[in-house]
Amino acid sequence: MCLPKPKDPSVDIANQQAASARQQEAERQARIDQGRASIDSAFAQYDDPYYDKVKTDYLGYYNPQLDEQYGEARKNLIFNLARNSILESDAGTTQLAKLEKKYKDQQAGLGNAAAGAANDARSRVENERSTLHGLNVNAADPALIGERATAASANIGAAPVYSPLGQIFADIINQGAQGVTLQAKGYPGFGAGFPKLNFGGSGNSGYVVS
Amino acid sequence: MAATAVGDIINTRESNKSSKRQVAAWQQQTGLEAQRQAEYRARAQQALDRAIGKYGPGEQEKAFGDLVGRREADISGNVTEAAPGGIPISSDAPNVVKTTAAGKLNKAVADGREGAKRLARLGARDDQSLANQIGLKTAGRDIGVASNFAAASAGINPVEQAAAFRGAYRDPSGLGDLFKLFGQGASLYGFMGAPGLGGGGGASAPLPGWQQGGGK
Repeated sequence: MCLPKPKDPSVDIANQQAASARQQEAERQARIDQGRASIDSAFAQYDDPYYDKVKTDYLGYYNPQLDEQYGEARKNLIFNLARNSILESDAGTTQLAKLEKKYKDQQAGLGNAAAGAANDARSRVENERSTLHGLNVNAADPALIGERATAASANIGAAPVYSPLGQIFADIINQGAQGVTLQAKGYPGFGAGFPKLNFGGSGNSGYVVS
Repeated sequence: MAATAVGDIINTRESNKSSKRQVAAWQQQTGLEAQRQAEYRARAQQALDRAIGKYGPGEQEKAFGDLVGRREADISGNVTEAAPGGIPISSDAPNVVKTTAAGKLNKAVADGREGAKRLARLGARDDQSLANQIGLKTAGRDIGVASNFAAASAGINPVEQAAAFRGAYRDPSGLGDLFKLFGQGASLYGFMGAPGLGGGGGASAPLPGWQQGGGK
């Protein structure tokens, strides 16, 4: 009666189970933290200099196209104006100034679009990073997550497809050509200078079109 | 009787002691879990504070100002000066023509730059929206992880509590039972006037009818 009872083995089992569950959870949390570090390490390449590079690449693609179109448009406009001897007229210089303004607006637009492209890239990167973090918590497998993070970060680096610029200055050139044509026909054209008066013998009286 | 009472007291005290030990073991596990939960909460709170901090008084305006500056640098940085000879004027053209042409060209560039500034303010709103989105997403992710850890830990705690509770149980020493047995024996001895515990009692008178056989 006074002898100690044999120890209940279920107590040890319960203790072991509790300790094992706690240990497993601690390991799981450590694995998640490790996976998280792997993801952040793989995505460390997507820093501010990277997004600056996206902008630079964007402008590197589009600026030359714009410059080329501008050069071409300017040349055509100058020829048109010169052919009609109105290059130095108020109308001529106004057309050239309009072209210049449009060029500046387009440059600003490209600068803005470049920043937008960097934002798009940042957004894609963050989405991918978020997906991986979600997987990491569920999988708690740093090796798998590390592999996926590396693969995902490499895929994000692939540039999206960009379309070439459309005809930017077509309206100004058309407007210029139309103005020149109208001017040549005696209409005010650019709305400058005197209207052409027809004193010819065709019987037509002079006209003024305003 | 006294021995029985002492036995009861000993048993009760031992039982109470064991219960207290069990409750203490349970509470210790509860305390440890509370400590862990507090760490998870702090981790989540830190993430939340980081996110909320961006919406403190004046923070959004300050951030917007920085973003406008950056956007403006991006946009205006791409707007070049007017090309020399932007409007080709012959050298013998009247000065008024030259001046007017140069003025128009300069105005075109200045207007373009002003437009760039306005565009920058517009674009900076997008930048801010994106920055806020990323900030909230990051905070949500961090809070989610802390919450996941907290839930898993809380799930394990009942197992730990139960194990600790069972582990803290101690069998009674048996001393109380011994006293009680002794007391019961003594009682029996007193009631029956017979050797209660198998010894002694020789001096006591036999009970009437006891050991008297069939009335011979």
